[in-house]
Order: sequence, then structure tokens, then C-alpha cells
Amino acid sequence: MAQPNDKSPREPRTRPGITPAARTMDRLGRWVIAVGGVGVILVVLGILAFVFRESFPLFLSPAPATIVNRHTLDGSDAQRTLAAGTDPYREVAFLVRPEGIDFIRLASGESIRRVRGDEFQDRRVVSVHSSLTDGNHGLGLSDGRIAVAAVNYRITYPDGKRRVTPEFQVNEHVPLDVMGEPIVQVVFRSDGARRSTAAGITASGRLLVACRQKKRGLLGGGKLDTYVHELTTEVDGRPTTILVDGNSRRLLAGTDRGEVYCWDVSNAKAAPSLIQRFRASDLAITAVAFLLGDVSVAIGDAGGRVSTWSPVRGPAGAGIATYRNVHEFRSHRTAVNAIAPSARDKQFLTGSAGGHVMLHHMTSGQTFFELVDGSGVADLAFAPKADGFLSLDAGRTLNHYRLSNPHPEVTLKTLFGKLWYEGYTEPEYVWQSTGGTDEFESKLSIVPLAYGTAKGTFYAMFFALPLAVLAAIYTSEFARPSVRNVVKPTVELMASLPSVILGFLGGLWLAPLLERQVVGVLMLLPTVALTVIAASWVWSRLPRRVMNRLPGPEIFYVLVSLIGIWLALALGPWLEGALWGGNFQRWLADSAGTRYDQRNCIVVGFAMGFAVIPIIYTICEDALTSVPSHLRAASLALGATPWQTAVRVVLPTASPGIFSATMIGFGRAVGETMIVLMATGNTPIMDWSIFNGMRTMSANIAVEIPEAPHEGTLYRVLFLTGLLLAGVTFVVNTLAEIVRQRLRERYSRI
Amino acid sequence: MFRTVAGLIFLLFAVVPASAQTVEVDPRIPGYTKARGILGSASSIGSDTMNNLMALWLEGFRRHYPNVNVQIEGKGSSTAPPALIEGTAQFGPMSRAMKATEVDKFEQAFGYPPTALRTALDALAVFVNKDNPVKGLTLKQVDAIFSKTRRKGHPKDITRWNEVGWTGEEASAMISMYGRNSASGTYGFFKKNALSKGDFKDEVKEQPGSASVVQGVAEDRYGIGYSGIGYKTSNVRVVPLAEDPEDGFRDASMENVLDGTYPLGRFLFIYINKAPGKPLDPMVREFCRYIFSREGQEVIIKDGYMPVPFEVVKEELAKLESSDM
Repeated sequence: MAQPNDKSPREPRTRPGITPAARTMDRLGRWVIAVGGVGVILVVLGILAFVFRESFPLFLSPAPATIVNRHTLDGSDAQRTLAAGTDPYREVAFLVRPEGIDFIRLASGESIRRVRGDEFQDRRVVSVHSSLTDGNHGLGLSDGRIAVAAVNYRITYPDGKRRVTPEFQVNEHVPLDVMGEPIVQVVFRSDGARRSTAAGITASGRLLVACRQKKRGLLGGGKLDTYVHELTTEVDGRPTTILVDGNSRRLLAGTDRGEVYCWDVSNAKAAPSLIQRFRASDLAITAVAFLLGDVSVAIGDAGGRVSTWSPVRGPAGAGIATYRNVHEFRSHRTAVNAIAPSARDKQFLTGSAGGHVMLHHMTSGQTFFELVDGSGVADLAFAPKADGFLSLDAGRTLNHYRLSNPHPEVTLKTLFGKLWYEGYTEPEYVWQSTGGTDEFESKLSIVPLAYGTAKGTFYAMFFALPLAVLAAIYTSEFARPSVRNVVKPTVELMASLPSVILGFLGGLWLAPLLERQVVGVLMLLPTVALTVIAASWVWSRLPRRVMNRLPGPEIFYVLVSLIGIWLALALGPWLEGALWGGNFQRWLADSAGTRYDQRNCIVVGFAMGFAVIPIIYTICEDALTSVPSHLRAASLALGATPWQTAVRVVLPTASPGIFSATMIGFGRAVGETMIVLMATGNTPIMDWSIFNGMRTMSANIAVEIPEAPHEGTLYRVLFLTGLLLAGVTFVVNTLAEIVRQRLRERYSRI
Repeated sequence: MFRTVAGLIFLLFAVVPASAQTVEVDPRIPGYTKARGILGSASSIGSDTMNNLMALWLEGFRRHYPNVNVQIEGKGSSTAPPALIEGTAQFGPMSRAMKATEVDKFEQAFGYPPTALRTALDALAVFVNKDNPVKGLTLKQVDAIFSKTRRKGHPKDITRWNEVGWTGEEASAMISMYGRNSASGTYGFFKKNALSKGDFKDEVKEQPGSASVVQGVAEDRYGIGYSGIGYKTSNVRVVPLAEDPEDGFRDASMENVLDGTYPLGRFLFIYINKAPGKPLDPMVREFCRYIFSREGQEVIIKDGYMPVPFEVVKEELAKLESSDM
């Protein structure tokens, strides 16, 4: 040990007394251990590599869209195609033309169906609006009416192969303009049941809205009432774009002066009331669209600026929500002609007069790519599954792109920064990964989870560390061996309790109990300490005769502690009545503004402390007992009291071991899953209060991994949190090892 | 002796109110007819709400086919689509409809969408502690209690019981919210319909199962939580709800669910993987046929949920047989 490497490794062979068998065993043992050790390291590295591989694709930028095919569309200028769209499988596309609807096969471009018919005989289609979710299309006609058309795709599987059959039907005509002007901008939305709204801008710039309401009939039917309102006079300048949400609550119109007007149209009969008028740009508004969910609006202007606006309530969430600018995106530099939202998430495409197409994602504020697509984009349509899109180039070419952007919602900023989510009053850190619908805006901030992990660990250590270390000092330095021989195995037995049981007990037994006795439990520390000190004083004053008759001090102190506990629990309600009007929780809520949660950090501290204490205690105890006895003997011989010896000699010498114990306990608390999962409410709040809960990273992984679709965003983010946990543990352990080595060097000289 | 009599009386009282509002299976639904040669094993992964229901169906099914074995795992509806896609489960019970993105993933794997069967009706119930005197809640109030975005439009946040009609000194206590974890279809359904797709408050305690939500509310005097009606126990009370306060509060009863006046009625689904144009695996087909038989629908009542009307049964049975869907 003292002089390694200066002797031949074969030296044992010359040593007498070692049989060849023993030597073989020796060599075998060395091999097994080496292979095992290297294997462990390889496995750990392999796991890390796997976790890294699963989470890494989150940060890859998507490949730019690739063109699948182009089709040149025939017809003169007057027959220019107005809009396009596709079925979910991108097999069939429909084209809206002034004289009717065409369906073509996207792969070959061959026409499979033309709809002309009565609906379009004398009138021409002037404008189109496609609803994102229900297949409804509003067609603005040249005679001041709006045709409500449904495009659906019937999917059948004859002979096991998919066949897409397009279906087209004009359901009704809404007479919007009695003066018969062409409707140059149109919108039609229906909630599928009772309310629908059609609105349009006429060739001369008049803004009209038809609010429709079906009375609830006994047998499903019912009379349909239409109320047409004209809003032209309320608008300064000329309206250019128009928008209605699916529930017929809000009507938005952009003008050539860069302003956006927002009306409340929830009451069909009454004239729409103006809620808000805001300046979205200095230039004319050229395109507006609701993003999926009908909450946020994307606005494009004549200068190419693209921004999204979300309704935000006033401070403290009061009042009516008004639109505010939340995100700005890369500018097109030429007028934005078309905005196409995705039907799967918060992505949207914008196309400009300069022929550029860009893909953006609202929540993360990213623009993914910009591609040049002909001479000018007339219309854009996202494929229903958001795996491709169609763009109409100046009405003459139909471009079909494939798109793959699996994780648009993740950037370093969305994971670690404050984000302004839809409907929130300010930017916040939020974890709320899924909702029951596709419209849901995933909120994947890791910050509340990291905060929860730190909080849980802190309270667990706060509870466990002093108890474990002091108990170790007591049993190794002061207690009689007989006591130590009972206490140590008992504490070690605690470690064998499965954490599920601890979590279960904590959540369902301790939490309700604690709720009734909060003050009492908080009083435990002072009362027990005071009774023990008082009892010690009494003990020291007892005549020796009496003392000898009593059992050992350990039993005495256990009794005294029990009295202290009883005292605290008995005093608790009294104190609560005297100081806090009989209800501590209510006082806490009223005066301190803190919620008292039944599943709180005290419960977690107790339950997790229970899991951590045995580890810290055992290692500490071992470190203390292994301090050479000659140090202790020398100290005592020089006249130091046992207390002085323990604090000044034993403790510093054992400090590397105590430090390791603390760190191992810390590691256990950071990674502990089941206890936190069951004993807390898993509330991702950011609040240090001891009276409420938390959601830790590890518990979060356990809760959400079963639902996370394989290789989906949530799945990868959960792996990322796992990687972070591993990283934290690695850094802490390395630091701890360095500190421990230093300490050991320093005290090994004693 | 006295004790037995008292017990009997207690039992009588306990039973009578339960049978007062009887729910019955539509008499047009025929009984189950046994097929031959059904055996094998399958597994079901999905909804926690439907866990007991699946177990009861299996129990009844195995009475006909003792050689059939189905493993049932219920961690939440969102676990069903991944299991169906990976083929680890033949049945995917879900308490909400599949999301379009989940259907997309399924189609990517198989080339056709999954088949949804509407097996039962449930009233998603809002529970409070049995000592809570609140008469009823409007959906706007429910939204303001659970949500930080308040999409339903309640003017202000609700944090204390005295804001929703609990009077007295005690009512200034803070409301303690219990909910399901996000894997749950109940979570998704509640979010969509009660919160209008808004966000839950961070303070809502997420429980891993419906039973623990109900247990939490039972232990917490100021608690409120939601789960399927089948998990109701005697220590909690179901709060009548109102979509529109003018219509009055409605109990979570079958007739209110059927006529749509109870605002949180829903179907409980089972998703299966049926390749178009090909017959189903006989065991899967028979299990589904059992569910839509008189016996299978009676089991639903036993578990506290509600059977589906005959029209639905007819449609769903047709889905099992159809060749090009």
C-alpha cells in the first residue's frame, strides 16, 4: 500500500504459504470484480446515452418543407383559383374557382370531380373562408350572398385499401347584402348546433354580419333566425379582413389603417357591441386568422410583419379580456397574403406577396423556415394532420409540400423561461403538459418541477438531517452499548420500509391527522426541547439514592419526550384558540395569504425524513465509531469532558463520513418518487411555504410517462427531466467527493 | 338481538334511497347468446374510471367462457392509445374520445383509424365532503374554483367556500381542490367541458386514481373533486350542477344525462383495433357483443354508471360486423 508499483506484480508467487488454488481464486476474483466494475460503468453510461438520445431530438431544428409535387392550373385570369385544401391523407385536393369547385388527385393532378351546378350558374365565387375544424366553407358570391358549403371526405376500405371519396354540398345561402354587391372578404363559422355567424366585406368596403340563431326545438329542429347588422359606420378607414370565432362570440375586422376592431356578437339579435379597438400595425392589415382553439389571432400587414395577439385580462384577472401583442415573428418584408393555422397545434404558415412561405409556432415564438415559392402566394392551406401544406402561387400553380416538425413547442426558452401563454395575465412558469383536446397549448416549463424537487429535498433534509446526525452522535458517544445495540438495528430496520407504504401512510393517514393538529405538531420542537431540559435539571438535582433506584437515563428521557409530545398536542388546540381564533388554517389564509393544504411539506418532511434518516444515521454512526479510540482516550485524559471530546475531537475527525452521509441522504431525497407522489398533491406551484405541496421531477415522470406517446414531445421532455436529475446527482456527488477528500486529508493527520 | 334489528333497519334505509331512482336497461336490448369455441387471452389498458366496469364485464364474460383470460390495467385513458398502437392491448377503455393526434399516431401505425364503441353513460360528478352544505354549483363557479384562466367567464376567482353559498363562520375556509392526473380521460373531459379548455390552477392536487380523489375529498372537510359517478361513496356528496343558473341545478341522474340537462354527461368508450374488411378476433368480438347485451348493460348499473340506449347498442353492434369501416 505504501509503495505501490516498485515491486514486480508477480511477487505473490514467490511468497511462501500461498497455494496454487488460492492464487487461481485470487486471479479469478480479480477478473470477476474487474468485469463487474467495468460492466456497471458501461451500463450507467449506456443508460445515460439512451436517455440523452431520447431527449436530444427536442432541440433539432426541423427539416425545411420538401416539395412533393406541383400542378399547373389552367384557366384565364378571370378563372384564377381562389383557394385550395386537402383531405387528411393528402390524396385529394379541392380547388375553389370562380365558377365552381374542382377536386383533383394530388399525386397525378387528374381531375376527379367538378362541381358546377345550379349554385354557381349566374354568380361567381369571389372569396372563400375555410373553417379549420368542421369542413365548413363560406363562399362569398358576386351577388351579395354567402354560400355555406361542406367539403367532406368519405374514407372507405374496399379490399383493405383506403379510398378517399370527396363529398361536396352547398347547405344553404345566407343573403348578406341586400344591395347585391360582391362579397370580397368572407367568413362563416358555426358551433355545429345553435349558433352560426356569417360576415363579409363588400366590393365597396361595407362591413356586414349575419348572426344566426336556431331556437331549441323539442325534436332537435327549430326555427332559424337571421339578424343582419351593418358595421361600416363604426369603422374608420376601409375594412380589409374579417374573422369570427367558432362559438360566435367575437367578430374581428382589420382595416387599411392598421387597426383591428373587435365586436361582441354573442347576442344574435342585438347590434354587435364594440369591445376593443387596437392598433396592430402602422400599415394596412392584410391577413388575419385564429390559431387552433379560436383564442389567439395571427395578424399580418402590408409590410410583411407577422404578430400574434391573445386576449389578456386586466391585473389580477379582472375585467374583460382584451387583445394584446404577445409574440412577434420574422418579417416577410412584403405584404402578408395568407395565414394558415395548423389543426393540430399552435403552428401557422404565412405566405407573402413576394412569394415567401414561413412556418411559425406561437407559444415558442419561433419561425422555423422561410422558403421561396413562386412569384406570390395567393393562398395557403395546412393539411389536416399538419404533415404537409398546399400553396397557391398567384392562382396558377398548386404546390404540395411535405412537412415534419415533431417538436415545435420546445426550445430552451419554453423549458426554462417565463412564457406568456394564451389567456394568462402575464408571462409565467407553468407545467401543464396535456389537455383533453388538440387545441391545448402545452405548457412544459421545467422550472416549477425543479423548484418542487428543491423544495421537497429541502424540507426532507431539514427534518431528517439534525435528527439523524444528533442521534448518531448520541448513540456513538454517549449512550451505553446496550442501548446502542438496540437503537442502531431498529433505525436500520426503518430503511426496509417500502416507500410506497410511507407515501400511503403520509398521504392518507398522517395528512388528515396533521390537519387537525397543525399547531400541536409545530409546537413539538419547543415543548419537547423544554421538557427535556427541565427534566435534565430535575435529574441532576435528584439525590443519588433516588437516582440509583431509577432505571437508566434513556428510559427516563423517552418518558420525558413522550410527556413533551403529549404536552404539545394538548397545548396545540388551546394555543390555536388563544392566538388564532380557534382556526390556524383560516388565520393563515386571511392574514398571511397562504393556503394550508392537507398534503403539505410537513407531511412530506415526515414521510421522506423517515426514508432518509436510516441512511444518514447508519453512515454517520459508523463514521463516528471508527474514530480511533486513542484520540478519545487522549482527550479525556487531558481533562476534556465527554461533550468537549465529542464536539472538538470526534466530530471533526469523523466529518468526512458525516458529510458523505449527508450527501447520500440528499441524493436519496432528490430522487425519491413514491413518497412525494402519494403524500403530496403533485401541485406544480412555486411557493416555499411549508403549508402547501409541490410536484417534483421524479414524481412527475412517474405520473406522466404512461400517457406520453412514444417519441412524442412530452415523452422526450420527461426523459430530459430524467437527464437533468442524473446531471444534478452527478454534479452533487462529484462535489461531495472532492469536499470529502479534502476533509479526509485535513483530518487524517490528527 | 337489538343490534340485529337496528342493523336491519339501517340496511333498509341505506337501500331504499338507492333503489328510489331506478335505472333500467332498455328492454329492447337482447340477452347474450353464447358462441362456440371462444378462448384465449387478451389485455385491456386504459381508463381508471372504467377499471371496475371492465373487471365486472370480464367476470360475467368468463361465466360463459371459463377459458378466457383478460388482464386489466387502468392508469388513465391516455395510456390506451399507446397500448393499442404498440399492440400490448386489444381493448382500450377510455373515458373521453380519442384526440385527433392520437388517432393520427394510430393511423400511422396501421393505416386505418381505431374503432370507438360507446359502451356506457357516465355523469362526471363533482364531489364535496358529506358535511358540506352547498346546494349546487353553476359551471361558471366550478370553472372559477378549478381554473386559473376562467374561460367560462366568471368575473372573479373563487377560493373560499363562502363565495359559493356556504354560510356561517366556517365557510371562510379555503377550498381544497382534488383532481386527476393528466393521463386521465376524466381530467381531459373536465378540462374541456367544465373549464372550456382552460387551465387548471396549480393548486389542484393531482391524484393517481378516481378512488383517491374521492378518498381525498372524504378526508378533507373543505375538499372538492371530480370523478366518474361510479366512484361515489357514502363519505362524499355529489353536488347538483347547472349549465345555466336559470334552469336550476340538476342531479347527476340518468334522465338528466340523457336529455342533456346535466352538463357533464359523457360516454365511456372502448377503443379496439379493427382492420377494415377483415373479421375481428372472435374473442374480442364476443367480449364486445357481451358488453352490448342485456347482461353486459346490467353490469353497468351495478357499477354505478348508466347503460346506453338501444339505438346506440344497435349502431355499435353494426360497427363490429361492418366490413368496410
